[in-house]
Amino acid sequence: MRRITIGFGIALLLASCVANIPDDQDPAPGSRVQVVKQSDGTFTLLRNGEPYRVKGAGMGDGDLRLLAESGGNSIRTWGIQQLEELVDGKPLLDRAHELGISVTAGFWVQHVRHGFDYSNSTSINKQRDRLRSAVLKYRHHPALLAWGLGNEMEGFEPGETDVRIWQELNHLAGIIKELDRHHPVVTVIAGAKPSKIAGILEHYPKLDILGVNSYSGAPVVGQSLVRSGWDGPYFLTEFGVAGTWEVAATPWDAPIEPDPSTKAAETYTAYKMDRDNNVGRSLGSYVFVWGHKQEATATWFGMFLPSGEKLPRVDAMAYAWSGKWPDNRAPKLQSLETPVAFKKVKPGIRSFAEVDCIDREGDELRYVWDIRAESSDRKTGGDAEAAPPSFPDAIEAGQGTPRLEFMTPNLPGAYRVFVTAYDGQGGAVAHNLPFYVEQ
Amino acid sequence: MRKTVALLALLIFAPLSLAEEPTEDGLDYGDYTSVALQVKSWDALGEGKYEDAVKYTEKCAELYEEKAREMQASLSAKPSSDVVHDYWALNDVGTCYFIRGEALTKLRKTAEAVAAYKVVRDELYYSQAWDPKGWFWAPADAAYPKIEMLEAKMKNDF
Repeated sequence: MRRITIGFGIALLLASCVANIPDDQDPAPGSRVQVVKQSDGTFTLLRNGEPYRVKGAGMGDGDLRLLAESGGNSIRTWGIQQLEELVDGKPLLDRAHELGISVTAGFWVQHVRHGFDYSNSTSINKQRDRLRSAVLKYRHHPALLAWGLGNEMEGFEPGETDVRIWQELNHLAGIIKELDRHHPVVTVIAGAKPSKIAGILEHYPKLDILGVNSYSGAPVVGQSLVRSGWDGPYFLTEFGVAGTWEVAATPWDAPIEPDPSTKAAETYTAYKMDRDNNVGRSLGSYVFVWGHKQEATATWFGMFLPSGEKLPRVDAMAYAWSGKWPDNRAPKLQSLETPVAFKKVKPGIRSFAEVDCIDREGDELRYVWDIRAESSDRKTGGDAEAAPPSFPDAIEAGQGTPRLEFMTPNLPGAYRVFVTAYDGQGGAVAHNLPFYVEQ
Repeated sequence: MRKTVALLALLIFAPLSLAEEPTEDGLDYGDYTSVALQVKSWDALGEGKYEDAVKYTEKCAELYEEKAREMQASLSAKPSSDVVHDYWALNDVGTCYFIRGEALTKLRKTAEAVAAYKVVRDELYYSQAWDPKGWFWAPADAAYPKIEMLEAKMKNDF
């Protein structure tokens, strides 16, 4: 116990020493980033003195080099440990810098819904110490664009936000500013509800750039923010396709995934509308998500397959960022049909599914079919979900071809038939249709 | 007088007889209220019965669009939540036009879908829809990006 006390004392002493290093004596920050308010009330992000608009993506396990080649210039992360993850054999932050990509470094501010108690001073101090260490460690990195202080930590239900969260964020932002005055503080909230904006305006004056995650509302998020009372600068920090909670669902509550072309068009439109309609307020955006993610389905939000192939939304963002389509496009899915789609059917009946895909470059397509249970591990707020089980025995014939013959599973419940078409050149397209097996 | 009684009888019994008679298209329009038609449209959309969803929305517009437009014309701002239900026809017809846009999109009838969304965005823009999660949302706001998206889709090869 005594050893622990002494150790804790030393740690505190060290922490207080490093915390007192004044940043104005720092001779060589890796980059200087600031938000400048113009005389007309608009805002400009300056990076090393030059205007900088974020054309970014939330970083998952997707190909970072491809982001740079596609015209992207920035990524955001969620937790500080992500900065050390190896990409092409190098820590993410270093590899990003090599590729000319800036990083909004996310620091995970704990959530009440995960059990964090904002009245527990020990937990709060631990979080503050972790932040100090992170800022001291990375503040000089040339890839650093901004500090992403928290992601959707305010909760989702009306009236859920405890003002202490905003107050603590303000305190944490103060810690960052004390140690690093060259990088702005961004805090990311879910949606643009007036109650959240009111809380921020009242309790969080140290915030530099508001980050907003928005899906169906993304194209009009700038207008929503103004209506809610925020006329300051912002990043659209997550956007892309309509969320699983924003689309029509089957009678058994399975959200219906939009087709890949619609998802690509939605993503492109959200980017373009936010950029064009909010000049001087939207400082840029981060598309969700540059990687693979299981959330309701394996393909809803992810822009890549787990095996690394890009999906059509990557091409849509390349077009949005650079104005040019890539030389090799992901295949295009024209239609996917099965007689059991959206229906309740008997177990063990024979059926089929047909897909019509084209490849613009004429690459030969390889088709992979999968019958999977509907996800039973649905979470909120993007928390990690387990992939539902696959039923390979249901497949009778046609694997590898555009027409699948299958038997509906014997186990009653909700399912989806998935198809993925690969072009063999790093591109793929995937889609699914839900069905339900009755007793 | 006789004419008035006949008209009254027609008014009283017409909805009943409509509800009881099988429809030519085989669809069940329920009690033909605007809210029933709107709910049936959503359900059909969720069941992937896109043609049916379109028919329910058409029926809703056929019966209630005039009233909806009248309500829209009487407003100068979006009704607050305490009076929103007073604008039932506007809400249901506006929502139905949004659903029609969704269904026509699924049917790949892009130009018609854009036209449906534009009715909500440009004409019935004070309509509101109830989300069972506990709040009202504006179909006009939701239609705006849909139009942009579909027009982008018509212009570009996604």
